[in-house]
Amino acid sequence: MTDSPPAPAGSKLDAQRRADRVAAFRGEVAALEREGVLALSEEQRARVATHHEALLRELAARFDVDVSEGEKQLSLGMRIASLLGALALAASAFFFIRRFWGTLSTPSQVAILAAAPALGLLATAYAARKERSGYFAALAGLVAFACFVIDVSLLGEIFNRVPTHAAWLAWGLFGLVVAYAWGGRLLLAAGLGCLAFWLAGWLTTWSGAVWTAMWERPETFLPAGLLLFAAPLALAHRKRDDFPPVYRLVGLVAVLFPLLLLANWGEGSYLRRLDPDLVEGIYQILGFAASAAAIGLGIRRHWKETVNAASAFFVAFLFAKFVDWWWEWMPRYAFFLLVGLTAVAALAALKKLRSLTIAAERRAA
Amino acid sequence: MSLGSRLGGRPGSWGLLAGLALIAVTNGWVLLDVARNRSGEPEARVELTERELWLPWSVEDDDEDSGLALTLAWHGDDPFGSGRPTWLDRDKLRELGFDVHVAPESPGSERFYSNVPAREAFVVLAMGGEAWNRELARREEEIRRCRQSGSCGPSAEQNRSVPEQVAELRRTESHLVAVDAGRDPRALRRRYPDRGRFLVLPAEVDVLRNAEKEGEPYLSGYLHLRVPRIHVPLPLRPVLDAVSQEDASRQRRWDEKPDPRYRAVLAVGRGYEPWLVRVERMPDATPPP
Repeated sequence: MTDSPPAPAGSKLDAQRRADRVAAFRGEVAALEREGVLALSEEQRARVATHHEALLRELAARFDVDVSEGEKQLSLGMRIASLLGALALAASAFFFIRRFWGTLSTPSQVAILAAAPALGLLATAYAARKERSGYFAALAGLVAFACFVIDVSLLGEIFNRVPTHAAWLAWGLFGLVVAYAWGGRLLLAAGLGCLAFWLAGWLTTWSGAVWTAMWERPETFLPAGLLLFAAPLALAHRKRDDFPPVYRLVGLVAVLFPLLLLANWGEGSYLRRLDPDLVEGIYQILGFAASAAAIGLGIRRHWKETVNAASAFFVAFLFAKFVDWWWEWMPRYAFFLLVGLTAVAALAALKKLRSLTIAAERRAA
Repeated sequence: MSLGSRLGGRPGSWGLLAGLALIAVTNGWVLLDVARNRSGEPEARVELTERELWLPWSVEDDDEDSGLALTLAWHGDDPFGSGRPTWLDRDKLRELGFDVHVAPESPGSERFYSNVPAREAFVVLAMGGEAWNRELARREEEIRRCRQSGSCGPSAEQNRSVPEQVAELRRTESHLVAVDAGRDPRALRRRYPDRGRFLVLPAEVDVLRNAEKEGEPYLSGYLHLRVPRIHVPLPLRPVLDAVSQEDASRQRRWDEKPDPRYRAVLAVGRGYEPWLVRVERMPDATPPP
């Protein structure tokens, strides 16, 4: 047996999981020793400690992982600060350009608009090289993305261009490039959202409608949602294993939110030959079925984000149905009592499901 | 190796190159398209005035936005709204690609025509001429009817004669009138060949089912320009900035319509996107003391 740590996992998420396991192992060993179940010799204890220290040093050096609870809390604070900073800097860039916009010639305007996201990219690359945690790179990446959105939007304004859905494609690709190059789940979500808008706009133009009419036909978002949800099955993310949940989450929202809208607004459907009440009924059934299927799939595949998002939508479908059935004729106290009792019943059902799942996992183990 | 792992494999260098390339391609694409639109002889070149190109009210107040864009003002010939010309009827809507097979008076038509997505089209705006004269005659008739019926209510307008009011409309109202729409801009241009008077511009059309008109429900359309505001580049701003300053210094009311103080040449390119070519003060419009 050697004291040198084994090669750590390939991604920051893997590295963090390993560091968490080390911390949990240390805590459990200490508890077992206190309870008299386990007694490691000094030599064993020293060897494990040396091994873990070397491993954690390696993980911290390569991936800047959090090795203590305090560091984890600080990291959360840094993530929030990074997001707020990015939003503030993006707003600052927007208002700066607007304030001095009219004093610039057209070539200067074009040059500044194109230079802003390019500088943002350079800043992202520089920050990623200088600081391994990735917070500054994430912040700079979001600012670069916002500058690119401003660039394309204002170019359209100064040249009086007809707005086109192709802008969403450019924004989506840019978000993906920055996210894959330097990390950032929020940026990935923004990029995927833009691609969903582009695809929905493009499909809308097929029917001869203006692309902006995609908002009036929620069904146009369904293909994009399904594609995004399924994409991680085709795209392996060995280095970015924190990305597939983002794909599934954005995809799920792009499928279930339109279904929720259509379940309550039949007039917004492409199924114009059918009665709106019938359309709403169809989408209510589809919405419940899709949410339940996503919960089941999420439990089976251990996709936490899928289970959480689908559960939230299932509750939203249920609540919308309750409002539909009872809001008008039931006293308010009775309505909310019924909602509360349903939540209690749902809790009991989920508890049962949880115990069944645990039992199944134990049997499998 | 999968695409995902290839993409995630070497952060930094490829990301920088790909991102910069994307910025260059997107900006280059837009600029090439603008150059293509503005190359050669413009599709149309029409002289307009302050009546047709409105300054924003807030230009003198908004320190946060130093840009300037003029709103293109135009009307149809429908008293219920400038975007609803009477010629935009069921037949025209069918020609524009709408499914109008359900008769507007039949049961279920209200639901059928509610929430129909807008469609792309091109609208023809005529500057002055017969369409404007018809519009003026319609407005004059409205004023006369209103006076006869006494439904206008007491106002300063009542103290002026009808010819005076009509003369003011002629001086201050936009002379741009929507006269036609279609899906093929070239066909529209063949129908309206005068490039110095007719603008062909991209528009969106909504379908409306109107509940009553002489007892019968009917279909109409609602037109929106897809580029309703025209950006003013820096070299063309001095005249407009001076006019804005005049308005600000004498605290012009929002509903006050002055006689036109500037005129502008609006060009439309091969891609049917407009731009301002020239802005100059009207020779007889002297700044107020």
